[in-house]
Amino acid sequence: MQSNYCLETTDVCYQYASGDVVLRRVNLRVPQGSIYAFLGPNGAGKTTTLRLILGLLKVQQGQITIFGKSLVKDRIEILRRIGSLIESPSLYDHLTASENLAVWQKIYRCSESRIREVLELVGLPNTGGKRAGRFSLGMKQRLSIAVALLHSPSLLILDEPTNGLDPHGMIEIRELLATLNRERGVTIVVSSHLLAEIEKLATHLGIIHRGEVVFQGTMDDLREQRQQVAAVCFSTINDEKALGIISRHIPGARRENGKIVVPPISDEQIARVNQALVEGRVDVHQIAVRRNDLETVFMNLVAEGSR
Amino acid sequence: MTATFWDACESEWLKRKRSLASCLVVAGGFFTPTIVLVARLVYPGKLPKIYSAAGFWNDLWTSSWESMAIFFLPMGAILAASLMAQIEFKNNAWKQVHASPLSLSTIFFSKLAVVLVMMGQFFALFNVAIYLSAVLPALLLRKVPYPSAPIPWARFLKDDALFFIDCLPIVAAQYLISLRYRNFLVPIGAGFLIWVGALGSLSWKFGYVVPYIYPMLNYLKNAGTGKAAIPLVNIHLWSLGYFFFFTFLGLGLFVTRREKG
Repeated sequence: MQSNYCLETTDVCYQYASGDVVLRRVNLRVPQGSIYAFLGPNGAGKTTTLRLILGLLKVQQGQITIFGKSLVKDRIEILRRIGSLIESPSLYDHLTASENLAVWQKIYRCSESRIREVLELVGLPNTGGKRAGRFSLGMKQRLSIAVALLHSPSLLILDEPTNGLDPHGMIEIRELLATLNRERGVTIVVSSHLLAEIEKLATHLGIIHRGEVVFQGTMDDLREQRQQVAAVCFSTINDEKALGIISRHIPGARRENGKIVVPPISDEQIARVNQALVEGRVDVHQIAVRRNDLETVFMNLVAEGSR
Repeated sequence: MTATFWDACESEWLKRKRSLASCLVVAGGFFTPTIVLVARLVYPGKLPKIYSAAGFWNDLWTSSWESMAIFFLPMGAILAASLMAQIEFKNNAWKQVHASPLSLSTIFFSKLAVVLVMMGQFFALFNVAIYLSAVLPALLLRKVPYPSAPIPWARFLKDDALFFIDCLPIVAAQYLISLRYRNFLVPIGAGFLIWVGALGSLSWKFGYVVPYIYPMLNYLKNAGTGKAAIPLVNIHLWSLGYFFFFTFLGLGLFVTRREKG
């Protein structure tokens, strides 16, 4: 049966020689044509997973399937259709931008005109004879992305691609990735430890923590969690008296930034608390519902994964 | 289309552009002949007699090869092989190489092929430099005649071929070590130690088992200086044997490495 997933990992585990278990039964499902954000704190196992996917580490347990083919059996055929940037840029410092690309142009056997095209695409068309060793980190990152794009891959695997870029550069790269995905149908897997960075870009995401995938789904799934109420805030004329009244009805109420914050409660409970406050002669200025932001959802998922 | 071995070689050849390894090939090839040339230009008195001698080219060839066979050729092989592997470590590029659609054996042999071509380049430049060190004094100094003896091309080519074979174990062993260690000092240090060991083994009757000894033995055998115990075995065959042994051992270690890049 033909899978809709461009990339699939099944129960992938990895353990270093020292005995440290880095990945535990990682099951990733990257749909064809998606922008899949692979999130997790530093040291969560993102880079190890991506290195396994690219064959840089030998799979000890589990299976990796890309384009419906086994990575072990069809490694070369698969790699021909993948562009990658793993960790820091891999550039030859003594060569110019064009020469760096020419090194890979020979291997991927793409046309020489692609070198000029990708340099323009990443905003490096005029570096001339300047050697890559003299580039800023941002320029090196752009050139590495150009290397990854050179052979017009079907799947792009980028490990923290905006590292070292200024805010303007980050936006440009995000727009470039979005365009590649939209106009050329390139599936993109992009890792990051910052949700805010890829929030506007990704269509799907997987969150990994301590080697385990703690969430996987669409951005909409995550946004749904965001809609869930995180807390209810009461602004009153007398917070001390209000806290006493509210605590009799709702356990866990606390004062925070000039408001009484209570854990998520039902609409009926809100009405009952309000009535109790009015009966206790405490004027209520505002009752507000606080919803999770994505960062909080992310942190909660990570915290749950730690338990 | 799948990248061929030739594509991989072209790619590797590009990487050596402006690298320290390619600079050393040029510098190493020209070094000894330049010293010979400078000495001749500074002390031109004896040159007319030397240039008229029947054995002019053979004498020049032998004296030029002395430092080359003992020191510059082993060092050139050590540095060229080590620096070519170091290009990937230094630029953090092994992971990109391994994530490219190349088989591990293609990666291994394409880089080795480029090192061998660079060694060939080293020999070619050395030959050109020897020729220039011979003819430039004749062109620049009025009293020095152009050497009248014919150039013994056949001997030169044969010696070149044998010295090339003799340096192959050094290339293969250094390549093997360089692929395994990120720290540049490890292959260079190991290479230097084995070279010193080879130097110390010259008078030992079993010295021919030391894989870095063959260029020295080949030179000293032909020069007839008595400084080395000349073995009865064919050192060129030993050299080829070591080359294939180190090459396939290196390939095995490269392919079975757990972590790539």
